[in-house]
Amino acid sequence: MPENPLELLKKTAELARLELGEEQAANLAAEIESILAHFAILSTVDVEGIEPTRGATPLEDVKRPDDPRPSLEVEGSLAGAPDRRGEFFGVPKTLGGAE
Amino acid sequence: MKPPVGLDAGAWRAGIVEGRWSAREGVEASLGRVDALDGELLAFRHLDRAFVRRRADECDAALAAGEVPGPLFGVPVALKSNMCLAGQVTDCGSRLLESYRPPYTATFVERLQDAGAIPFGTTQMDEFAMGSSCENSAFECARNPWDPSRTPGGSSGGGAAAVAASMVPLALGSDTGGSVRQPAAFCGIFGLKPTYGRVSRYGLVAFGSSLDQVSPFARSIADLERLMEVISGHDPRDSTSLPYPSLEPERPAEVKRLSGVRIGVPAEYFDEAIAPGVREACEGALTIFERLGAELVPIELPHTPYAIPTYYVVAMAEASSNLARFDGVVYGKREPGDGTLQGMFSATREAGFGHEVKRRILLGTYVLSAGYYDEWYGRAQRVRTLLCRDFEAAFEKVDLIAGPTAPTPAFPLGERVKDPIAMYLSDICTVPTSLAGLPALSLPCGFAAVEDGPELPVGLQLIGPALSDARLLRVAAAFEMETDFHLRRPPLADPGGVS
Repeated sequence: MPENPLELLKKTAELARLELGEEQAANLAAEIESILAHFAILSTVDVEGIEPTRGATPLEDVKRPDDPRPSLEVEGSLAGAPDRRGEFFGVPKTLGGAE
Repeated sequence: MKPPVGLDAGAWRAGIVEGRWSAREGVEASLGRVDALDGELLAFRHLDRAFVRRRADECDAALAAGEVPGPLFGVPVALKSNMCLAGQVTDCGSRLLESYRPPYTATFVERLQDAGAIPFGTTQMDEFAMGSSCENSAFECARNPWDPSRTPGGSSGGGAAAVAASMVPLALGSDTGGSVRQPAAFCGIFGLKPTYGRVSRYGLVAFGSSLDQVSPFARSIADLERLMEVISGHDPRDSTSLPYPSLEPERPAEVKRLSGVRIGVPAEYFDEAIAPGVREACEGALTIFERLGAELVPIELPHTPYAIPTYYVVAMAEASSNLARFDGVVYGKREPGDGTLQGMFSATREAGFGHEVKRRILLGTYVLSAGYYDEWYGRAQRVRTLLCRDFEAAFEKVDLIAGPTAPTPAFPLGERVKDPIAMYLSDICTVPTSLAGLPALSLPCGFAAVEDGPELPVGLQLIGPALSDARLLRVAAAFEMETDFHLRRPPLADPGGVS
């Protein structure tokens, strides 16, 4: 991680929706900096003109017939919800809160 | 009646079908083994005894009613804790999913049940399959039956320990970068990572979607084949599932001798990172293959030194995306945080995920973020192409590739837990094949002496081209017939010693 690893770590944690305490953030910033230093060997590989490999199968654009079929029932879908409200998942207020 | 503990799945099923014991007696024997050994080995995470007894009784009733028994009829098969079976806890070794019970069943579990198998509990794993030792579980850490002060490997360590200790004849794990092959090697059993796409991932909780593959453990090659026949084959519910029918084993008679089989031996897999005892056992195994008629061919896989960073960048990127779904809304734990929606997400994930999972999510988010994507993720995808090309070039000269499954035998618990780089490096032999989506099998090939402990099992990894799974199994069977490494059982867990 480049300059000021702690600031970058905090920004990344925000993107990843992870609330980290100061000490935990500092520890993780140091660990991640060290891991990335080991991974930096990748920058020495000549990848000019090499196509990326995105998956391990030759399959592309897999589709299935557009036929109606049963889906998961409401009860099953809601069975693990931490906050069930009738037939819906309950969440805190989405408007007016933090971005 | 002789309880079938210690028998392989084929003999276990035959005993039921021929009336020598019932499915219920078999399950009771397995439960007895768990009672005797699992207090020390901690292989199982959840075991619903009423459920497995009920399933066994259903098998016995079906047989009495004249139903044709399936290929795994009455055989207990342990699942990993990231596999969905409707109504049973699937916690992925994570606090976040501690009491999660999926409302649906994985395709491969449905196929197991259709074949008459009895899903027999879930086994310990590193949280969300992120680890090489089971030490990243939020709960108990499974132990190695050969030496309980050591790891059974990871992330599917519990399944390997359960099979090695004869608690069950078969188990399923998931292999993303070696998570079945390395535990199989550490515990002295067989483990196969099939060609990517050969087994449906529907119902396997995702970690690295372009890498994950459901993978079986067994104590014999015939059992691996039997299990693969059942779980493999196309599934329209997984868009990465290959459009082929289930695996059809090659006939044993065809490959007792290995004349004409060319086995590539990569110099990169026998470098100084490989422990002397592991190298010795693997070199010994290669001479056995030669004796069976195979030809050993030196080959090169020149991009191997880049495999670990490539794998971890790709796997962490995919993990950061896959684990975004755990936000406290649809299932699992929820922490209110500051009462806002974003605050709830962040507090839930902070409280629910363990340290290694957070580290990987952060690294994955970083390598995918604007400004760093090309430098890390884009580059890793290109190096992945070069690693795939290494294998393509090698398979123009050879039929299979052989090398150690892991650079060391099972290491002591605690040895690498504070050093993530050392832990990641334990995957050096297995991640290249994962990146290329190739089938690879770990087979017991000898034992290595270690300081202050008993001799430990060593695994040899056989790698084949895509879709050569059946051929790999046959070549491994020729080795199995010639050796007895797979027959040795850990002293603690010798079925003769515990009834």
